[in-house]
Amino acid sequence: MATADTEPGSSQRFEKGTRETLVTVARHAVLLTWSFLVLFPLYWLASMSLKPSGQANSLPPDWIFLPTVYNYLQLVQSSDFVTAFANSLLMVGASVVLVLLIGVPAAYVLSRYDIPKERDVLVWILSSRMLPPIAVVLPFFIIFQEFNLFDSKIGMVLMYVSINLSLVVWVMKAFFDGIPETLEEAARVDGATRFQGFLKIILPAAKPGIFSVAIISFIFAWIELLFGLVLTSFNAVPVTLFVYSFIGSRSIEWSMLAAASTAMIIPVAIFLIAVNKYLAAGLSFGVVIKE
Amino acid sequence: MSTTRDSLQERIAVNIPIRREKLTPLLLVGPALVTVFLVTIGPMLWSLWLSFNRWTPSSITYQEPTFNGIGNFAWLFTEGRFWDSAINFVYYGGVGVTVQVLLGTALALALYNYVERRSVRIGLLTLFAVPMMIAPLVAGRIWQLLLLPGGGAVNGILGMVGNSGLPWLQSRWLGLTALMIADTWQWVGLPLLIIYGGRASIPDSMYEAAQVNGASRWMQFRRITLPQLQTLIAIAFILRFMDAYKFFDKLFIITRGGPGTQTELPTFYTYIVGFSEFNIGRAAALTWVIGLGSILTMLLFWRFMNTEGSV
Repeated sequence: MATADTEPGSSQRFEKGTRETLVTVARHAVLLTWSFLVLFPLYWLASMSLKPSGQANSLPPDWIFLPTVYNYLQLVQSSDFVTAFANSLLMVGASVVLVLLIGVPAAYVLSRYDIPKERDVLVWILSSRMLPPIAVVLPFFIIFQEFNLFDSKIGMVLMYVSINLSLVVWVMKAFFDGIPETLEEAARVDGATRFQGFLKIILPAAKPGIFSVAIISFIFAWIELLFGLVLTSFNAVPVTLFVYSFIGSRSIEWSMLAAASTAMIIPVAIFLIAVNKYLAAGLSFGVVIKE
Repeated sequence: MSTTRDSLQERIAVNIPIRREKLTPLLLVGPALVTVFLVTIGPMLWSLWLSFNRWTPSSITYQEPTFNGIGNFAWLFTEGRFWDSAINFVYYGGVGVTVQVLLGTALALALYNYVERRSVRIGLLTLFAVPMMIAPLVAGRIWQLLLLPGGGAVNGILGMVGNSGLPWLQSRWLGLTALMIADTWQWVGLPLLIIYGGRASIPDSMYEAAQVNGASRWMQFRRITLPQLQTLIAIAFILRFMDAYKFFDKLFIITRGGPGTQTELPTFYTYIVGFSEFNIGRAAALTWVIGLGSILTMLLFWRFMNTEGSV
């Protein structure tokens, strides 16, 4: 950035330069330190998944070992795992689409219209996240039996939507609040309906927000365990349930558990990398303003 | 920007009607409200009803729920174990969540402002988010192993810098701190992703205007970045705080509330009352106290944010 060059007084400029360098180094230090802290346990997990089962959980761990893909081969060959994985991808993917379709327009309305008791509505929406899942799972069990949703993919999609809806509404409302209303006003002057303005102007401007809540929603649903445990039995079993099946009452199959956990990271990481460019592409409306 | 405003005012001045829709907002907000209604009201009323009943379904003399007034709540507030768990929560939630949100914000801004290469940015963002994708029980177990007093890697590293290591997991406050570390490791990605998205949507033109006026980077941060992100930071805080109220899995595997019952948090205690002692009525009462605490915290925080900020 060229700010410093336009400032008069070279000594002041120098000071500013060193200070900025220091800040930059500090910021990079934060990133570097955290990268290491994140990587170390991950390395442990990954290495556990590459060890034969006898060696996986030894303490102190064997830092040097002969890696084997045996655990992963077993996973891929297990039809239970493949089914559960595919189930989860389908259910979680559908729930993310649905929760965005429901939550984003709602957030827009809460941001732009004068809603009576707006704050109460917002708090109420957030209250769906308030009770611990363990407290709501039993009534849902009864309701699901009643409505034939037990062990159905649709039922699980609805549960995932319910987990994430409040998050989507709250975060997206904040994003919409940050987008100047003049943008829509301009569109409405040109005869667009409010809905068209929302679709064509506001949604593209809020892209980083939409994709960051999409990723977070995906993750929350992807790692959800309790609802899957209580509300499914065969047809709609999510992958988390399969992962936890390696935790027995007496012993834990650590190498398989680690392999399945590592495998669970892959789709979310791919999703994140795939949508990464949208996370940073919300700047288009800045251009609109300038022109 | 000025041109659009002028034209709108002109339009209003010459009485060209701007189209109004009454139905649109209802159609847009409706599905969300219906969903929330379905997933909150039913379970909430059911557990509220239970909280005023005595119900111990697994006891030998099985009884249907019987009404016992505020008995469950009265029991709760005289129970030392509950208060201990509440105090633990103040420490765990207060310090842990603050650290998570501040660290997440710092990482997001550093990533956005200081990492030039796109591939490195993508890589780091993904890396920081990866712990969130690991099943909490597994993450808990990894940290339990890392923090073991003898042979754990954390004490090994502390040993290298001349410290004799800490008795993690063997005392109340260190145990809670261990939980905090594991939880921060896993969930810093949530504030990170929200704030990163927020920073990305601040138009460059705002910074350019500030630069033309000679604002330093610090001033830009104070006057543009912070106010723009304030609400999102608050929301990240609230979301993590509500999750802290529900914190369970990692506690279950790392300390199991131990030593003794010293590191129990409210939800874990609810689990003990509900599914180990099978006193469902009392567990429901506990759930409601936790829920109300959660919402109270949120309202206080929200009010604080709104009086502080100019958003």
